[in-house]
Amino acid sequence: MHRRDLLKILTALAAAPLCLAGCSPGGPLTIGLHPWPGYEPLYLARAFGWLSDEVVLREGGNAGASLAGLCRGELDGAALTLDEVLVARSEGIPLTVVAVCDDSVGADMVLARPGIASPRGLACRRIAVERTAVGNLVLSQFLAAAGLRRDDLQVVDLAPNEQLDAWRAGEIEAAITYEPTASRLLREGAVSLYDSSQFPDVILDVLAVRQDRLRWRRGAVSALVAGHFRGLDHLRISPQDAMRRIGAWRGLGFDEVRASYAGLELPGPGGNRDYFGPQGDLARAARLLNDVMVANGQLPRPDDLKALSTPRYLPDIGAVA
Amino acid sequence: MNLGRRLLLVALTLLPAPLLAEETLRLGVFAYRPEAVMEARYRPLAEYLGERLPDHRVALEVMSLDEIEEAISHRRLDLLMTNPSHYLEIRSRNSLTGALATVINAQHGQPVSSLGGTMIKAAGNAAIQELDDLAGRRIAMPGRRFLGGYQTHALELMDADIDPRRDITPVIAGSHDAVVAAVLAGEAEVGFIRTGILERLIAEGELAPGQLEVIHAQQLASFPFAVSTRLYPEWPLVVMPQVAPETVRRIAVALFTLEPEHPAARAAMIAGFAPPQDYLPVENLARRLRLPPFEAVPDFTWHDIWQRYAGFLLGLAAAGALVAVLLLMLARRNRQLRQQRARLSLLAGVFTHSHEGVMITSPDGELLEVNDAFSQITGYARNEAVGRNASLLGAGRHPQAFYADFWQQLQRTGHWDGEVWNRRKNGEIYPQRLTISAVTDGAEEVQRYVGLLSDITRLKEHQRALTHAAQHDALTGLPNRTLLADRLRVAMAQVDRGGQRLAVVFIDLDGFKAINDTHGHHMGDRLLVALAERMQGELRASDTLARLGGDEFVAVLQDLASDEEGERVLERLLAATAAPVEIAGCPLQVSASLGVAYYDAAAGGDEDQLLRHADQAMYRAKEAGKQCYRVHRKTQESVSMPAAASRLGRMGR
Repeated sequence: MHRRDLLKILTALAAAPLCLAGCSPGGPLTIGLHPWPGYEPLYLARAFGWLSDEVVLREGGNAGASLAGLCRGELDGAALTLDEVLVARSEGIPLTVVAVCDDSVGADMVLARPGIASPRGLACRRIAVERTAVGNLVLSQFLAAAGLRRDDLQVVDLAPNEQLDAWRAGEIEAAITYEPTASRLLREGAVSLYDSSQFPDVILDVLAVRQDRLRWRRGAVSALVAGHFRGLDHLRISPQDAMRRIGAWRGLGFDEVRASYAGLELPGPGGNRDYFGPQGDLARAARLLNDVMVANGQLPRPDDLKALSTPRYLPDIGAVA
Repeated sequence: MNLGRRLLLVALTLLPAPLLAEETLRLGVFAYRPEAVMEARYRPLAEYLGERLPDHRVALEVMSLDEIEEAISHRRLDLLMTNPSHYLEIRSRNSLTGALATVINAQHGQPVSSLGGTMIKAAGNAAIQELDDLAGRRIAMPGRRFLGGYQTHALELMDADIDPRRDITPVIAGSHDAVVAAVLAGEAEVGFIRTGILERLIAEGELAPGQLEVIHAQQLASFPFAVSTRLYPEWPLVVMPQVAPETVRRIAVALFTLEPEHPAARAAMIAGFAPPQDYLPVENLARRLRLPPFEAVPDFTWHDIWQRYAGFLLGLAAAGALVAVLLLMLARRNRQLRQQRARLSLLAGVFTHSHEGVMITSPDGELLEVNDAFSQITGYARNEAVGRNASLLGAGRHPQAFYADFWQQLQRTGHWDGEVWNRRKNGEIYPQRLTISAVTDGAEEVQRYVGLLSDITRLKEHQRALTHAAQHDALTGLPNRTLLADRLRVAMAQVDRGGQRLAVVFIDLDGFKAINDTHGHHMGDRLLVALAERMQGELRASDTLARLGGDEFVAVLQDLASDEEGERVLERLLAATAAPVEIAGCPLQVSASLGVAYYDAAAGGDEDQLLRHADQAMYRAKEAGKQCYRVHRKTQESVSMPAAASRLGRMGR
């Protein structure tokens, strides 16, 4: 009898790895997401059913929604800019970057009404800025490049998804913005005064997950990252299809969608690896953000940058064709 | 420059012109719609190209896919427009220069260089709403080699877990127009056509809007056609390798400069040509669908298996390893068990076959196990003994103090051995050697007692036999000197305590040596036995007859009431010894000389002295002529002492 019981237990133990391969006892990995060209590969992956059941995408209007979700503990991770990751970490959410979605090389812009030809023309005008690190970072870089001070402008706190209405209502003369709002404002006749191509490898959009929620879910994180790269692959190989779908979701035309990617570098699995490591662009950008954000009071103290990123969930190069 | 050389140059440039003007480039176009429609659409394009190429004429040939392949293998085509998957198929078999340009389609002025598939059904067919509803349906398609007419649809079906080869009933219509007709006529529930056909048919007035509905419609920005699948690059224009590079360059210029408003473009319903797109999506589609040239099952390497099933394989390996380890442990345990069983059976054999009885009891004496020998010795079968107390074996011969000592020693030393009297089941009491050992656990608590018992009845008998042999004469069975001395001492002690007279008679046979010499020792020995029996027969029960050795005997006569009684015994002894004895048919006759000494308690003396006196008296009888007796008198003691001393020396212990 004793031996029979033992055999039963051992059989169950032997079968356990088979179960582990197929299920994640921790429940699905919930990831906060908001519209942004760099995150569209994940939307594509979801639309084509390439995301594993272990991953749930929770869609919000903007990055703030994702951060709030993280704070409330509803999300296990989110697609965020690197500075938002640092803010979340300063609030005790142990985020770690698992993939770089895009690197802004012109996607973050300062747009102004036609007729305002130079940055100096913005003096005393109302400019919409999202009160985020990216907004502040672009603003500070723009002010420095234009030789202006913050007081020279009337800064209005408006997130990009609110900027179009304000623009149409004539409430703002300029906006620090990004896609898809940037394309819509450009369609309204806005002109670009400045963009992030002036300071590349600083504004990074990343996938970050909570380290403390990874027990039994490492497969889900790998699935999330793999889904992103599969979507990215579709975007790269079949832009005619992918960008038309994105256009349909965002209310943009094919050419506008294509234009929205002009200012973005979307690194694949191979390119992603260059961002990781102590000498990678991620660590360098984080150090720069530490300086800017502490100076602007967005961070109470510099992030220690420990466990800020890990390349372990990136697919092997060659596995994704 | 002189005139002659200038004329020569003019002549050289003019000379080849009429020859080159004869050259014809053949443009093959895949007839995805009825040939007449295709002819009407693409003839202006062919003419346009001919116009743009000096010295060339472009001939249009509308062909089926098979005709195209046949023509290419015979070098009968120079330019080709076909669907992308067919282009990839041809490219894998023939050396092409590659796609020179990709067609830009146009609809209501919107340029599109992508195509997809449109799934159509008759309006109002509520049974079919989404992809999943297509399983098992009759589906019309122009043919399986049509990219927009089948292959793009097939991939979507596969993604919806519908096998496009087995799970649907195909109706091969031959062309997109025929598919539409089949759906309208109800011959098929669903139709697969490429994007643009629906809109084109409506524009041409062949179809009324609302007659057909689109299934699985995709939401795509800036795409003017209803579409049910993902998008792929539009048709390529391919140039065959035999076309001269210079001509290829000119064709490219002509294609890329074709404006949408040009009559050729309008007729072909295109917006012109774009640089060739990446046809990788079509290649990936062909791979997924295992279409030519990817119809061969790809090599499935161990790496692929690992990539796909790593978790499962790891689990399987772990499970296998676990099973192996368990089997190993099981084998080891089995071996140990076998060894233990062998050891146990060896020990059990000792337990079962031992001639010593073995009993195992609880600390309070309850019998737990006994062996066969136990049953043989005690008479109790195993089932009678087990469960009862070991005290059932006791004979009650030992006092309580014995048992108290027994328990005390057992508790003190854990061991006891000794001899006890026990009672068998049949009531017989027998001596038994018993060894008891306590079996203790780690805490020195007694768990069991193990008792070894052996029946020593025979041992006791043997001891008695040995004692008897030590005290009796082997030939006659009479007491020997040792026992004689004992008996004599006892008898003397009785006289000392006030008993009656005690006489010691020394008997020596006369003429016995002659018998030995004449008839042999064998006969002599038998004579001695016979005479011993006779003499014993003449004595009383209280008397003792002993043989000292050779022909010498001693009789101890106890409780003699008077000397006369003694003399009567002596006379009987003389008569008994003198009577003839027949041994083995041979009459033998001897006589005896007797010496008698009476014990005088008042005078004291030991048994040696008494015998010495009897011996001396016997010598006197010999001297008196034998066959008589003489009684020892005190005064005679010193006479013939030396002889007596020598005899008694033999009696010394």
